[in-house]
Amino acid sequence: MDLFLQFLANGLVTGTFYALSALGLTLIFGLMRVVNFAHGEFYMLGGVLGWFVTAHLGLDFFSGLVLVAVVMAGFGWLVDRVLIERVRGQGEEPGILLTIGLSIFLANTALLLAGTAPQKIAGPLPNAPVFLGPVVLTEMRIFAVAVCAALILGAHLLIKKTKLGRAMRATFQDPMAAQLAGIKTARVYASTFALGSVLAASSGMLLGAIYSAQVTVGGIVSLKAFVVVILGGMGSFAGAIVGGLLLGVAEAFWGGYVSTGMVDIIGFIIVILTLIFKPYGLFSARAERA
Amino acid sequence: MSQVQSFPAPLLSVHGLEKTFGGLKAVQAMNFEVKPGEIFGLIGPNGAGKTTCFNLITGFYTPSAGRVMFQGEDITGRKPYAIAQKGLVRSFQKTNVLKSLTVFENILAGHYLAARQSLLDTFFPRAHVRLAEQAARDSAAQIVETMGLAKRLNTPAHVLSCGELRLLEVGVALAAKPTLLMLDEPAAGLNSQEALAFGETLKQLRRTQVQSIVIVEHNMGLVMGICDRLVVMNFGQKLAEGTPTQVQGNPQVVEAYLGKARA
Amino acid sequence: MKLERNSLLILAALAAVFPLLVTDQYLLHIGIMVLFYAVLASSLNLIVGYVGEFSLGHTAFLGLGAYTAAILSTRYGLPMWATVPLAGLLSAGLGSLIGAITLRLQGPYFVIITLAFAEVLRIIANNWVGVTNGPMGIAGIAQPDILASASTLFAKRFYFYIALAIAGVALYLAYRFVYSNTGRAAVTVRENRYVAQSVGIQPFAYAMRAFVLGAFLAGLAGGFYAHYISFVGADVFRFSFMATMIIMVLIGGKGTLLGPLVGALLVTLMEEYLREAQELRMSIFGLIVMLVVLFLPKGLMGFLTLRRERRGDQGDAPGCTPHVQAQGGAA
Repeated sequence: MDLFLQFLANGLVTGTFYALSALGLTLIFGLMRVVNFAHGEFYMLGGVLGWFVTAHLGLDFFSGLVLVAVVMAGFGWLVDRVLIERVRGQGEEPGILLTIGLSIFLANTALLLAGTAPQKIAGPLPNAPVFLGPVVLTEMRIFAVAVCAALILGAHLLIKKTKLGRAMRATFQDPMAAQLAGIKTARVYASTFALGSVLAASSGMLLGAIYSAQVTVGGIVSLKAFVVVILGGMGSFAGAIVGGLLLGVAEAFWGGYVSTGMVDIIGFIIVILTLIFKPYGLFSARAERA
Repeated sequence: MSQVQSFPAPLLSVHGLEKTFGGLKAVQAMNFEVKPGEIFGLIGPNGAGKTTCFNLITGFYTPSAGRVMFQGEDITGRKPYAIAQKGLVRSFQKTNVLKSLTVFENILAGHYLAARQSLLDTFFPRAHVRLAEQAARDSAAQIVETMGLAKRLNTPAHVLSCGELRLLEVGVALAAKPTLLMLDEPAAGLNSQEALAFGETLKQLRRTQVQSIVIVEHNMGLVMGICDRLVVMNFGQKLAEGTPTQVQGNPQVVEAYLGKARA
Repeated sequence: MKLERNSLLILAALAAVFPLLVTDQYLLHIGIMVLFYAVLASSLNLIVGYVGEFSLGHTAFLGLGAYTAAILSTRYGLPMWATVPLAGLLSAGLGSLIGAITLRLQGPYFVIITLAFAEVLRIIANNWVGVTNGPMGIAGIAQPDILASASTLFAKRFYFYIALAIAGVALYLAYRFVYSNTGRAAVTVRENRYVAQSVGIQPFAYAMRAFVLGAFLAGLAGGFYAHYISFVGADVFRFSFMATMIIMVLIGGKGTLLGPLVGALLVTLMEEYLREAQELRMSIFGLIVMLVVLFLPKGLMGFLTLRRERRGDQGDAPGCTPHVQAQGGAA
């Protein structure tokens, strides 16, 4: 029973991290409908830049995080204006190819510059164990879960309550009408993409402080983020949380009780089953294709 | 099931056709018959349910109730391709062609049924495949000629004008060698002169290529000029049925539809 | 059609004399890799170009083919002329299974589910030690008997002609497919599902044929690869293989028969040229992909045909308003 609780706790924590690392994709893929295969590389850039600004520029974790966020906002904005803008409205395929190209480019350029070795980002809290009854966690993990909840809440409020959020929803629903209503849609697209990049990179830096920042992590992060976003039914933050937790817990139990070797297979099997039986995600209210 | 009958049996008959979308009745209690050799019009104000009717008959929607009989066979709820294979072929309201292919390629693609082949024949074609292929090409060239698109034979569809696209759509449908051709607003976007010429083309087709034509159209000049009989729809129901003259004289129709159009 | 057939025949003739003129084993090796990638890119092109959906899971078929040949050869002692066709058939079987599931989905869903299948196979290959030998891979795949006492130059030439034969088979089948009623039906489905159904085509059946043919050819390529390299590991399922295939199809031009061949030639040569600098090579690849998507969206072949069309057909009407959406409900 204690083991069960420990697996559950581990799964929930990992699941929160999955949700966190998928937030950016929820915006960019779920709402903007850009199938961003470079998402994992944005996450990776967050980790690697975070390591660079803390280890080499000597910033503390939080000022480092702010700096990384600013840099990645600019980067995301540029990517949207220079690349994505040119293929907008041409269906998904050019976007898919463009971001695959971008992901190959970013991953390998980062490899050239930073090497393959995992780098440790100094976190703001020690990795001291915390005992909650029979369950052991670290302070840093609990902190990360809290930050994750804050980020998700913040992003949710931004979309639902602010002017930019309203402009976003209008633009993604009907760009033509939004434009006629005086919304500068080009700016909305770029802002959303920038925000998505910031979310991806922040999660990369935060989780880099728990695990490590590694250049080669992009591919697997992208895949898991897609699993989470699809499970969550695309574009819903609440869905992404549930999707992340589901994946995390399923992996924890599979790893704990069945086999540690094939843990990664769980996510893919879940995504295949989801797409076969509920192509619009587990929690989507949308009618299925007739 | 098709038995020989001494009276001209209807080619298409629709009995009590009904479609509900989430409680809303888009089409209800539709009954009509299309006889061999007829050009049959389906008219009515926007939103009257004409296109829904088309989709129900051709299998793109499944009817909530009612029956569709084609050549004496019940085709209700069959898949669109299966219905097309029986000889009932439709065109679409919005421009629907294979955009990146040329005019000739579009019409050749429409010959799918005539040139159908086994998988073995795909990879190791025997003589009869080549004959069928040649026949399809000849027929395609013929249809391009009939539709007056000969000058545009090798032009990609996406650069055609609206009028030419309409002709091409009909050409693609013809290529499937239908017994009954169903056209959904084929003259939309044509000017009155083009529409007139288009009507003449349709009349010719009826005699030479297909048995009957069902047409949904807003261009009243065209409809009244070519249709033998009409059904007028309003709010998903049949309002009137008869020859163009009869329908034009019907006060209900004038009020619901023609009156508005004339005002 | 004529142009493409004649170009293919000329290319085949050139390839057939190449080993007679060349004695450099390194050049022969590059020639073999070009042919191998030509088969692979052509097979992916059948899906990308003729189903019109982007598969990121094509390595599943390459990998299954390679493992099939490796296992049949090392464990059951089957000769190469049997293992390679069997590899193709088994991949085609997997293709019909995966196709039956994935071809119901479109756009990003198709992309991700195909990718998920390839990943599942990769993880299985890495962990099912009893069959695949796990992360160690399967080494020492048998060479044909004829090579037992032959020189290495002879061996290279031998493999070159085997690769050429497989490429010949692949392109013959692809050519027949593309220029048949079956291929036309697949293109009709790709261009417009509604029109396809209205002229009597069952969309799923034709997407499936292109998909399974693509899987079969990728399986053949995988079987060949296993014997030629004489080693198979879970790396055959890796995404970098996938990326290479995509780039070849894109650069050459999807939906044409010559495009993937041109792409295979260019990319293999470039890979060899940048061999020393692995990361730099991949960086440049990434850049090229982006540039091609932005500036050469139809690839080199598309670019050439576009120019020809423009020359032949000037002063066209601006066209009708592009309404691509169909109003039909159920598909």
